[in-house]
Amino acid sequence: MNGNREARVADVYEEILGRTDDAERPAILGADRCTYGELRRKVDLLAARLRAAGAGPGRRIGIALDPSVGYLVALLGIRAAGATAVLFGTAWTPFEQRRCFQHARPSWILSAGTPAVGAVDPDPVDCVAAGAQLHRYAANDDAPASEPDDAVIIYTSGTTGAPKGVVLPAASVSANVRAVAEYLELGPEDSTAAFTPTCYAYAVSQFLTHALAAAAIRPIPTYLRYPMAVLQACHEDRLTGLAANPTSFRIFTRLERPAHWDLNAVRTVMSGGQFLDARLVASLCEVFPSTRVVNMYGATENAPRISYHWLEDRGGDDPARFYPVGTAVRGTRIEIRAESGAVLPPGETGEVVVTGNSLMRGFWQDPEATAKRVRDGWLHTGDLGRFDEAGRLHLTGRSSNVINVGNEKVSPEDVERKMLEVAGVAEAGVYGVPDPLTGESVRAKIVLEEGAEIGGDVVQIHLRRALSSYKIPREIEVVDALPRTLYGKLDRRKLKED
Amino acid sequence: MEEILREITGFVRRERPDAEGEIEAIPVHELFDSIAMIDFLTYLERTFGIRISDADVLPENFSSLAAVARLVARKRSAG
Repeated sequence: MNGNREARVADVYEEILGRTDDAERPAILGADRCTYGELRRKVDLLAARLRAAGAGPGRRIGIALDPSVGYLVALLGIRAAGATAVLFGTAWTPFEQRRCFQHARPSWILSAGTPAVGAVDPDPVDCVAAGAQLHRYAANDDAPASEPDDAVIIYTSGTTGAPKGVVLPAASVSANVRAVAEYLELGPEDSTAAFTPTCYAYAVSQFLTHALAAAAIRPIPTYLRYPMAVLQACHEDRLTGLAANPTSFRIFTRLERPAHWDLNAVRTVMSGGQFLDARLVASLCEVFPSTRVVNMYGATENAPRISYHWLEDRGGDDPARFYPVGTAVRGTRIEIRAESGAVLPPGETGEVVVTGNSLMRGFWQDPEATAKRVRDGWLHTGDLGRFDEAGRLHLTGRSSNVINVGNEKVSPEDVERKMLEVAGVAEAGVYGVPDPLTGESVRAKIVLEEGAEIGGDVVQIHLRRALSSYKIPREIEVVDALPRTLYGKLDRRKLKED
Repeated sequence: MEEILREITGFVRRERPDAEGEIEAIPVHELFDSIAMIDFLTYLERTFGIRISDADVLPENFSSLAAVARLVARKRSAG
């Protein structure tokens, strides 16, 4: 728990590129199969191309690549050239791409096709080593320089408001990657499937933790469009680890897979991004009979992992049982604070604040937003949580989602979890609508399990037994599906609008 | 077979009016995200009266609209 006093940790980029004892080990599995020796040659080639093009310290280079060997080569090669990477989502709309481009102002973008931003470069440089072309944007050369130690800038989601680019120095990335590789006990025998959007901090973490451990990665360039392809990869390559959020895991557990597929090699299932419940864990343990499950919590601003919790059981029938996100990763410290700033004791709910050696430098070109989020060296996550008596962190919701009903605060996540306890409710989304009397009032939409025939009134009756009246949705609408983001998270903005 | 392809191509053109060029040759995963993909599967099942199993939803069956049309034809004759 001595995050601030931790000495500077050795750079993971340097270690991955300087190592030689793993030259014959597989780095990438699948169609792009290559060894660590070959990977380093590709990185050298890309770095040479970048240097020849004039890229170096202070300059930013966009990466717009699907999960692939090229993505890892780009992350490592841009660092080897001394420049700073900016992650672009390949599934972003042209509007989202332009917004990130205009804010980050990269001098180049590495992309498989022509980027939908800026003036088209008539003569992009082929970078075969990264499976990409290097597109030049000389008009951005007068943009402010990045700090030489800045490894990557990651734009956090949010379709409204100003874009926020989280600047992560190599030291923060290194500290976090080492801490994660350590608690996951990753080694050269390990392997995993990569299908998380490559513009997320988790993708950087996943690729680099596995590379640091000389473990193998099977990129799934089609993301989750073919969920079965992920299970097929687990079977074919005898993958040992699988990471996703509960929505994606729920999809995997519902697939009818060929009976001869063997998923016994999976020994670690890593869940993050949403609440993890006992029922889902039980189904996961059926699909992956030999696995342990670890629940994880992170934020892009902490590069990204904050805490983790190895489950001590294999799930169960109780839909109301949710798992804690556990204890801080090495080098990071967590406190629960009241709105007054006072540190709260175990059992009391407040905002989760974090400090340590993997914090961001700040938001790119936005000192005001940075000062709001990081105060006295503590990152204010906006997440609500509490510690239990055993010192494990439990998350309860996001403060920005809170619905204000006549000055009473309602956490939609709390109400959603109660709604999921009702037999027949498969998914629930709770939101606030303007109310002339109370400021806001609570509404909800639910998706029923197949064959279930209950109405919103049944759910309301159940909720009355468990919750104060102001928390109970006035109306509960049964719908076919809830709006979700590309990665399966509930899209709370759309939920309200639709 | 050509009739199936024509119907599917019409659907995709309605859903993705912005897609350019020879739409029949573009892999489906470049046309749709994972949510739109589910709508596409539902459309195929309803329009052609077939059932597409989870094991069919693999990249090789969706590498182009022509590949999808072949999958539909196969399912129809098996159905």
